[in-house]
Amino acid sequence: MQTGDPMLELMGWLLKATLQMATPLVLTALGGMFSERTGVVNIGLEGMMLVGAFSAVAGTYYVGSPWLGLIIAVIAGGALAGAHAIVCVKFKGNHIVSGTGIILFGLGSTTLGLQVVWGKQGLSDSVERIPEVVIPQLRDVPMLGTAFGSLSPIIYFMFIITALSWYVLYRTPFGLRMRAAGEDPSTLDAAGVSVEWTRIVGVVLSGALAGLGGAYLSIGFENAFGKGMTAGKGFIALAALIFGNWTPIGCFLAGLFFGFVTGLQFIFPILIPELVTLTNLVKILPYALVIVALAGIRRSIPPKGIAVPYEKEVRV
Amino acid sequence: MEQRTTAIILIVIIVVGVGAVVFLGPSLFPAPPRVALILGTGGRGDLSFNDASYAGAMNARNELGWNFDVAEPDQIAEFEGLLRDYAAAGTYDVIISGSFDQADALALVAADFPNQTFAIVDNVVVAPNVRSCVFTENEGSALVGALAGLMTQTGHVGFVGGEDMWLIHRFAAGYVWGANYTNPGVNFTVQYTGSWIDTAIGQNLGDAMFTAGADIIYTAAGRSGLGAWTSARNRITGATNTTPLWMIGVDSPMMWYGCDTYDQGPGYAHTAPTFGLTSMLKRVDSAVFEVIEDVMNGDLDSTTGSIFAYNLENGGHDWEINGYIPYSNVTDVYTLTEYDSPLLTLSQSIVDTIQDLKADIIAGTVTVPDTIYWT
Amino acid sequence: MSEQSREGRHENEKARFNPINNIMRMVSDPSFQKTAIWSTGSIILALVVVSVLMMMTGYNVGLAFLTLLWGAITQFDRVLFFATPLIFTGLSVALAFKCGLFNIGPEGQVYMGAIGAAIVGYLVSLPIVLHQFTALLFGTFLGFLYGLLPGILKAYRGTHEVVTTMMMSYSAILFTAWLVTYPLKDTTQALDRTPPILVTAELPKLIGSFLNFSLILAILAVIAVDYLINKTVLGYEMRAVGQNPDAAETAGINPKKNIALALGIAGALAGMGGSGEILGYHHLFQDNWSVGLGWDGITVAVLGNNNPWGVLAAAIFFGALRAGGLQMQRIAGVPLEMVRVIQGLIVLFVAAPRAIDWLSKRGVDYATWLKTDRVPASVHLATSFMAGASAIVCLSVFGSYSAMIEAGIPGVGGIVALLLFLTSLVSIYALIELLMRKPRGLRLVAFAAIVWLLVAALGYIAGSMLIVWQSLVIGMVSFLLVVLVERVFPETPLDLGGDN
Repeated sequence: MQTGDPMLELMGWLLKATLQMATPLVLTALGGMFSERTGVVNIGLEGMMLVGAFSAVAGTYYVGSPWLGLIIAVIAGGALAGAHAIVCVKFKGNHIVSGTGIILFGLGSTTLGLQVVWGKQGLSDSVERIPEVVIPQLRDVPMLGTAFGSLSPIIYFMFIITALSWYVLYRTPFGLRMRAAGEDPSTLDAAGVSVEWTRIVGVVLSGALAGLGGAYLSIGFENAFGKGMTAGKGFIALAALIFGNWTPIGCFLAGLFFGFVTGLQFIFPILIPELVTLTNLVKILPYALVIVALAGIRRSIPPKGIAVPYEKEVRV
Repeated sequence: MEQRTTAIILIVIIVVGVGAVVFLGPSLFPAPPRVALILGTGGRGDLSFNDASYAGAMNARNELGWNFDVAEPDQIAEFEGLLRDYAAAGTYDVIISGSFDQADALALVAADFPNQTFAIVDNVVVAPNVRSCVFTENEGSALVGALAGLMTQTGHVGFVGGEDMWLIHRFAAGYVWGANYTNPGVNFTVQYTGSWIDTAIGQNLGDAMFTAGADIIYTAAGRSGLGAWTSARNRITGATNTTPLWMIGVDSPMMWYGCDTYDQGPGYAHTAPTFGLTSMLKRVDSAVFEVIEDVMNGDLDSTTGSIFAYNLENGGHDWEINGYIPYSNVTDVYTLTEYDSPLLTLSQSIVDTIQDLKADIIAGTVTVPDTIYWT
Repeated sequence: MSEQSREGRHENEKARFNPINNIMRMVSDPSFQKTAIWSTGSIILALVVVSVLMMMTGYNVGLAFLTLLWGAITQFDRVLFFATPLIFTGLSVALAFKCGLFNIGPEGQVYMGAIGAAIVGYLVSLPIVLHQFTALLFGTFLGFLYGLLPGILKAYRGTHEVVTTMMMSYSAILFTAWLVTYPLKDTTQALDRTPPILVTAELPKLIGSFLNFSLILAILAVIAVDYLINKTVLGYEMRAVGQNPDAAETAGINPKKNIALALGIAGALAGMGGSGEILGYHHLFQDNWSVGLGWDGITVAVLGNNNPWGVLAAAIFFGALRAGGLQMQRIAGVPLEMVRVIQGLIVLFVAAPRAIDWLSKRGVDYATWLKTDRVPASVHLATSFMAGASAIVCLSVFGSYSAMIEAGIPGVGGIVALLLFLTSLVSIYALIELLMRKPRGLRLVAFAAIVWLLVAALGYIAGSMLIVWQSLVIGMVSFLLVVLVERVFPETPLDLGGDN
């Protein structure tokens, strides 16, 4: 309830906004990580997010349950990533070319899809959204209530998926294979594991996670799909991936940092109303902070085998 | 040698094909209608002027039976080409520019095609063959601002604009002025999403404002404004607020969007309760409809070169009262959102206060600023 | 005839003098033929997919393609006008790629160049030629600085250029928006924009009201970048750094200097593109004056294989799609998004040149098989065709199905729509498997046939006889073909072709 100190409430809200803005970024960045750690550059994340966001709403509309919509979004994102995987891994195409193709296709097809499914331009009908998880005991606590009282379940998924990604990548044989496919594919091949399949699985996983991130935007956070609604979040996720140095924990922290600075730009004009004429400059702040932070922290070192198509050695 | 033959055959085929497309192609094009509409960048689905001008043209098609061609460019550099194409076709009785940023292109094209009639919405082009339709958003916003000033319990009202730009400043200035008119010294927060499509930012801004103590938010941010409505809905269904929260819509009647049955769309017979307090109506659709109607009656050519001002007096702007749109002397073409029972019951004294303010603005006894006048 | 015989005798010498022979030689080069065939193939494949999409959305496919082509051919001045900024941004991205850097933010550099040119254009008063030159130079210089900063960060701090250029790109758009709303605003009017540039700063128009001098600048830039990359020491060093920075360093090349300079020059190119747009066409800077030139530049660069002349061709191709797409929208009513889908699909297909090897191998396989066992092979081929047809029909029916849902039967309608979509996916997969001659493909076709029959039943419940007949025919024919292959020609060497 709005009984607490407004300043305290605002801080609580900042925490919540951080989580809300970070969730799609973290999920998509983790997806990108799976792709790039196996050696396939994936700049098509934006397109996969859009397709995920769209199919979540379309699926919910057709089937009637947002949970099934979520699953459909994951499948659709994975399917689009499958096309990327076929082009990049099977046909050894240029990863960036294919990625830009995916982005363009995602942008165009989802907007057309609005017309196919609803006969509308630009904005879909509203559908049921995924119900939020409410913690009644926490909700009346002044600051924490605002922050954690009522959150979308996908935000909790985000934490679980981060932990799971870390475990899979560093503690399972499959994760070892993935890392090997990105760092030193010939060793992996010598060990008798198919580099191609490891990479394909990595790319499809990335699409599935990006689809989940997009679905969070459309049916977790909002309740409809609008043309181009991801508004560049796929690219920001790509930046978060690089910022996080291609590790699960790094992606998670980078996503939270991006979410935090985005939330910060909403807080400033409320605290200092005089800034209203400087709104556009305040909005630069998050971007500037990211550059400063990244320049101050460390060098970014991508996986060694990235963007290099693996050619099996052929004995004649 | 064989390759040369192949090449020659290929070249012949290409030349013949290109010739056929260039010279015979246009004969296959469908006969154009007599009205052309060019929407602004961003296209339909913006819940703002693009949707409204499209709705006006659709109404004209349904009621007057005149079909129309529509183009949705996505770059400012494309306006001029489209205007020239339409004008060069020579078959259109009127070509309507549906957004303010087409003014430069229209000024050039209107000078090159003096016999073609044009119209532009939201901006002025000084030319003998152009009708300019302009609106006074600040006056309409002053009415909803005054209502917000009366209704706020926390003494704090909010405004979510789409971009820090002149057009949105008019909405913001009128709103803040109106709130101060009925509730002097009221707290206000003005913020911009910086995007017309990003609903996530709208929702975050709404959340931040509600958390900071605002209880009424006026949105003028296209689709991203809907995010703020979602924020209010979440707070109301989650019962995280003790004071009632209100949203104010823009351009078209939007009180239905605050009903529980909002997912049925605008045509549905919605019932109370709603958290939509009112909407500032900007009848871009009537402007477009009137242009087409005047062309049909043969009145347009005598009125081009003039500026048509749509304001409170002639019903170009108004406010939605309890789900009802007040009768206006602008042609009654709006799909009137009249519900079986009112969506809200504002007390008569409140309605009277706002109507008095409206009369004062029309009479000119008070003037509403149209730029940011504080700070 | 005599010319042809001479050509046969002195092929090498003639080549130098006869441009036709030069072209002929290039055309007969197998790698060029492969590229050309695959590029054409990509365009055709993309158009096939798009026509299915258009059928789903209910547009007139023939009219759409006719208007697209008509617009692209007759309005060549607009084609070049739309291509001009893309040449600059494409070159910007391509040059950075040559040095192993991904400049993802030419959009911001375009904006900085544009605002720079606009400021000099209206604030400074200079004689003609000098004024244009100064404005252009200032815009280019701002772009250069805006590219140099991430370059320096990359070279000396190891900050990844994708993050910095992207963040700076967003910042530039916001910063220029603020500039024109407040300090640089033309206060004589309501709109947020700078005052118009002086007439002395306007670049001359070439033809009509669109094409202006910046096209010539763009072509000069193509030549200059080609020269820089291939003929100068700096270009050689940049390429060396791009291929292997460590090896370049041991060879005595300073990678830091080259990285910083490469991004700086990339920024300058994009900045010049922005300046050219303002001085040549817009004549003032307003918020939102262009959207997505930078992003399209990336696509143009990768489509042109980072080769300056390739960038030129790709930019003109994109310009043609845009000019034609506008006509397609104006006359046939097809939204511009369709153009974006076409672009996306073409780029996606172009990315996979090896697909043609794969496909041609299948083709040769089929041809030899058809020669040896005519009947079973043709039945098998027919089954593959059936799978493809099934996929296409599924997708188009899926599209027109939303009408049925609106007719008031959402339960059945929803299931049918979902089934149709799944069937189309299954059919596509079946087609791929069949082309690889795996027995799984046959089973998938059988499965799809069963689903078709199910759709027919559901269509009957939903009351659409069209769907019932369509589904029945496709289902029965598929079944018949599967049974033929399985029972009548059991000796069909189904899994012999699987070599992957």
